[in-house]
Amino acid sequence: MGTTRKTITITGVCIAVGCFYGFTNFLSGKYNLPGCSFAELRPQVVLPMFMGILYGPLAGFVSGALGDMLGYAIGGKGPFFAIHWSIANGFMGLIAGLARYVGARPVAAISSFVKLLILLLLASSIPFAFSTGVEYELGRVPFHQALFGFFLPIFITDTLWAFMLVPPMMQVAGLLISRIETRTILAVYYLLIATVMATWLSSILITMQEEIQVEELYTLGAVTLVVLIVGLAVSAVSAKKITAPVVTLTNVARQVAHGDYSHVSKLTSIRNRPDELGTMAAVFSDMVRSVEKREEELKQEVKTLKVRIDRSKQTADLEKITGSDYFKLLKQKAGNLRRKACMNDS
Amino acid sequence: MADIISVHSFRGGTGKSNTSANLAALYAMDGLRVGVIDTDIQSPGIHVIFGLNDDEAVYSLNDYLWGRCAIQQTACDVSYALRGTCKGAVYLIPSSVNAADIARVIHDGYDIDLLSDGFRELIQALKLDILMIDTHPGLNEETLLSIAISNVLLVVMRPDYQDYQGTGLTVEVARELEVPRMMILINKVPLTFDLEQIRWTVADTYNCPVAGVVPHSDEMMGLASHDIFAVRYADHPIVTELRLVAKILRS
Repeated sequence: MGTTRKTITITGVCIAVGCFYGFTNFLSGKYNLPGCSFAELRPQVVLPMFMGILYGPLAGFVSGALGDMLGYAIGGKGPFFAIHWSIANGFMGLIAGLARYVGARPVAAISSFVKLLILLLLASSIPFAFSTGVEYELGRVPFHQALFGFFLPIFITDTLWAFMLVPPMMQVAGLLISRIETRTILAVYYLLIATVMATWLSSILITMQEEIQVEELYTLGAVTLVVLIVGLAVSAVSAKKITAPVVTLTNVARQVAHGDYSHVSKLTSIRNRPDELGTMAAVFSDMVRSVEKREEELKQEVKTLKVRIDRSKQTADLEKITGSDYFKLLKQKAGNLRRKACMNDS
Repeated sequence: MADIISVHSFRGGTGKSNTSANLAALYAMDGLRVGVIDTDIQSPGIHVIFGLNDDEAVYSLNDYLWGRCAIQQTACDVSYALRGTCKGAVYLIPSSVNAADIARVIHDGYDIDLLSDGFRELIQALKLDILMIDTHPGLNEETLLSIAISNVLLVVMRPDYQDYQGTGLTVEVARELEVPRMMILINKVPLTFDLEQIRWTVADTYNCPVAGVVPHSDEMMGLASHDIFAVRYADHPIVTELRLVAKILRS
């Protein structure tokens, strides 16, 4: 019952987001990118991708394809006006929807964040390479126009929108887990992507107003994208260098808390670092070693009990007590009482 | 027939009264009706653990022994000390803390037949499942009587040289008195000892089963006999051990 209700809810959300995507496509369709008769500046591309990340590949495909067809329908061209482009939009959501299968959802480490960005890059490139290829194969456009009029404008702009908007959306949805790794990479990431996006949007605006060749614009765009990716790779590596020792230290500390001291050797390479993390690892390992030593000493101190009894004294004392008239009488009385109690019980 | 359990130690300071009070509380938590008699007429104290003031009890065991009242009149219902965890009942028969009364007992002794009859009357009148006797340390005549008429004797000792010889003597005397069941409780064991090694060494030395080994506890010391440990610290490892002791004593 619960599963059916969940499926209905997801289907409803996909259709609603698809409709919204289609309507915004219709609105933004009036503002085409420079030199491009077909593609426009459309931040809404992140919607099918995000639906895919949230609910899986099928949800991503439905909202992307449905939305695209709806956009054409509202514009009076009919839903099947450009079916290969609609399929491409569907695949864009579908590829992003693979996030859960490749360890990019939720984002809990630098590695999963890198995987997410790669997935977004593939989602903005492969489907549109396919639809552009179809246009070229059908002989509708020459290669040069297919590249500079279709593929590059869409690929560069959509990638940047996805890079800029998907991470904060995931943060809002609670799919970006606050760990030292994610916090460190995001601090660098947002600064980098905001700068690149601002540069790209202003380049587009300038191209629209001045007489600049679109080839120059999109070559510049492609270079910008490459620089961005290289920049991200470098920051991912340096962020990892800062955060990895902290993560290792935390794991070792957790094991020490459970009484397992055998993992302290993992800190050897960290303690050789010349920075504060190196000092911390050195202090921590020394501390653990002394705790371990103290515990070992305590364990060895466990005493064994030796009981010594003077048997001859005990026999003499016992005779003194049991030999008295009182004791003999008491023993007799106790015996009688017990026998009486037994008889009463039976 | 109710179980009469004597809790005894050869020397003072072994934690005998605290053990009696806690075992009584654990039995009452299990729904049994328990009577606790303080036969330590020369140095009474268990009433403090049950939160009973010195002047609160109208009659004491001394009054019964001197013919001033019936044994039932000396019983105080102290189930309230278990603060809602009591499913059965706990009755305490205190000894007089009056100095003149104590002096009279030391000087005259008391009628042992009367004490024995009193125990049986009490079991019937209060419909008791268990009567626990908190004895006076040593092996004087009154203590021998308490041991003689009980079905179960629990000898409390510490891992201390002062206790070894006396515990051996107590065990042998109880054997002579043909107490049907006898066990040793090793109490206040320092944490540096190996508990299992202590258990089998003691059982082997005295040729007597060990009901439990209770480690020293700062929490128990901190309580300073002002509350029942098993009520205050229900989940403490010591209480788990005492629960096991309570079960073994009746099995």
